[in-house]
Amino acid sequence: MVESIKKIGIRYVAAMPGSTFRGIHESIINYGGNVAPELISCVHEEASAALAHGYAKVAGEPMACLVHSNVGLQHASMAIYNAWCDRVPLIVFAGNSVDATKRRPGVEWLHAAQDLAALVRDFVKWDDLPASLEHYAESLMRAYQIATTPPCGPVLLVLDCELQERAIAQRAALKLPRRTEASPPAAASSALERAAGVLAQASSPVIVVDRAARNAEGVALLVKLSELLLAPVIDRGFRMNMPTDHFLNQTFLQSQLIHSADVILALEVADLWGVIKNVPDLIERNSIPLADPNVTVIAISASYLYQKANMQDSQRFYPPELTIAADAQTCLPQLIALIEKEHNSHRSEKRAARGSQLRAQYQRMRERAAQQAAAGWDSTPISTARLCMEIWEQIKDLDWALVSGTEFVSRWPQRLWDIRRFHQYIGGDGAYGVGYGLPGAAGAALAHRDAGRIAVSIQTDGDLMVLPGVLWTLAHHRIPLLSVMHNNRAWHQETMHLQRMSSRRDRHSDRFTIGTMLDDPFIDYAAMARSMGVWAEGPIERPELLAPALARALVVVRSGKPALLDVITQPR
Amino acid sequence: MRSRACSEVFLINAHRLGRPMLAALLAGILGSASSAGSDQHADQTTRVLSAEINKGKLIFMRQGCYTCHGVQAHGALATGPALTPEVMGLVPFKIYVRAPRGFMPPFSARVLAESDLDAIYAYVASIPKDRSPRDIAALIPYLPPDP
Repeated sequence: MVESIKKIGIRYVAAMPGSTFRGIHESIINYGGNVAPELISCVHEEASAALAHGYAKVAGEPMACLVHSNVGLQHASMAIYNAWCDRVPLIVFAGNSVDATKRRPGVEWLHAAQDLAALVRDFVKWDDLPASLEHYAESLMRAYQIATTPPCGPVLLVLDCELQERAIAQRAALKLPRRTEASPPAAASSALERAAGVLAQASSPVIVVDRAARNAEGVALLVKLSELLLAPVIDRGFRMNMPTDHFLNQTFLQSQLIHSADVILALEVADLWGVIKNVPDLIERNSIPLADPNVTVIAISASYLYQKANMQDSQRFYPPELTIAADAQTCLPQLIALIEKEHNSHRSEKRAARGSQLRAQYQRMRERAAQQAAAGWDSTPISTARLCMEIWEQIKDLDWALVSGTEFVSRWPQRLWDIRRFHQYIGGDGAYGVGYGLPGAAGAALAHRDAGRIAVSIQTDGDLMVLPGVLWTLAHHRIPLLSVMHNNRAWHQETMHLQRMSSRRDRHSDRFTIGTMLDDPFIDYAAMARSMGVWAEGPIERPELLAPALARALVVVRSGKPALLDVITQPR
Repeated sequence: MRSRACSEVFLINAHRLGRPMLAALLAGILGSASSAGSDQHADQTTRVLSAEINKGKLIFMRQGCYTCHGVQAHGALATGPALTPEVMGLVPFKIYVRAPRGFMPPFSARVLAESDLDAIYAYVASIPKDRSPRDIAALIPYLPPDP
């Protein structure tokens, strides 16, 4: 079993121990020497899966996690769902005792299932329960291939205890299949020719991207396409697709750009309907249009090739004028070549004139962001703009990467940082499943450690409280992550939901704090971190104290250890 | 801001309200007596306004205005616009809170009295103007060259 894991190149396996996988656990550390794969100790299976999720987005290759039957897989299920929605490959191994006659009375029956994978089948791309070692080896190769072929996703192999623990009868007869990678799905040439024709003739094209870039090459291709079309790009923040300091990254002009677009090219956009229309959180739940009714929409996405029914992550159906079921990044070289050909035969003077206008528009967008960042700059609690810019000032000349989402800090990093490289931003959890933040960042930081980079996370307080034990994993494995807390002392999103409800019912609009605040007592996150071996300071309430604290924390992180700063912040 | 007396803050920022707005606010707080001009009355006005601003901040926090607009009403990208430094007029402010046109939930007189709205307005209007981004080293690179 361990030979197969080594053969597919898995470097780390995250696990909280469990008796249903004791066989493979022992093999990893003794037969495999605890090297490639190395076991990463976690204190919760959700942390194991989330750590693997974060790692895969940075390393560009899947990590594995081992989970206990029934109880462990149920713990892990939330993180697996996040990875599913985030289209991230991870390999989950779950132990299970299949043969009822081999189970000891009591707990082994409670930790066994007839169809264990059924617990998560709605949100894994594929699963199997191998009956022999040969079957296992073939299934692992298949699982790897399926997980890493766009649309990527988590896969599950259920490992029977007997299969793990029985002596191998004829070792020499066992064959390990080759690891093969499928080329990502490409589009029909005729479809791309049509798309190129429409785009080349567009007067106000806009490109919208979610998870379009899968690596640095994807970013370079998107830059080339947008420059060729002189089309502004709206990067919706699930990955780093378009450099934020490029004048065509006009993400924060989304409303006006979508409204005025005559052609929208959507690349791996998960919620296309939500780009074109909206349903505001008002009692009527009416749809409102955001785009011109005559807009031509071209959508390229691998998600058209694979969907599941139960979980509703497919979002509302939208019928583009041209739907291309293929991996967007794979399509870009051909699409670019076709547009270049179109431009050679129909050069548009209007397109050339758009350049200077777009540059000025970008400059105004960034200037406006700076003006907005100045608002509340000296305030207490510390503004999220100040928080982000103090971090930026200290990391911008290092080999840095942000390993957390930015939605809850008003997307200041995308608005004002120069995020240029694919690995410098990996998006968030995928399914808004709270608890991903710390383990996801830890996994990403593990991959960045191997690449010699400084990993920084802007860590929300509500999220940290879900899986605080990851702090111990960071310390135990010397994972140098700088966690800077955005501690607004609440599950802040929910405070606003409560207010909306009480307003709708016209009663007690001042009771929104009940059940939504993390106060009385305040949580001492720095003490919590220190208790698990992580260097920490805080709470930091005054903005002028932030920069020196960040400098001290970075010294710790650059020495190869994790650090946490608890910063008391404005709500958003 | 926290360490500064509210009356001082208000006096610093009162000029930002403009005469018509200030008069409307004073009229709401003090009634017709606000037109008197003696020093004694000016002191009383300052005291009353200080109390009003304090009360306003408490209500701003208690009613959760800060959750969308920030503690200093500086706004946030996806939750609520900045209410300062350009403060809308008192009358349109009240009309908007009662019947918002956008995504903000309405606050009726049942949950937010007229006098509470006056106090919130006094607080918002008292918030000191922020530093210019030109005075903040981290933000200067994003600004056009100083003319």
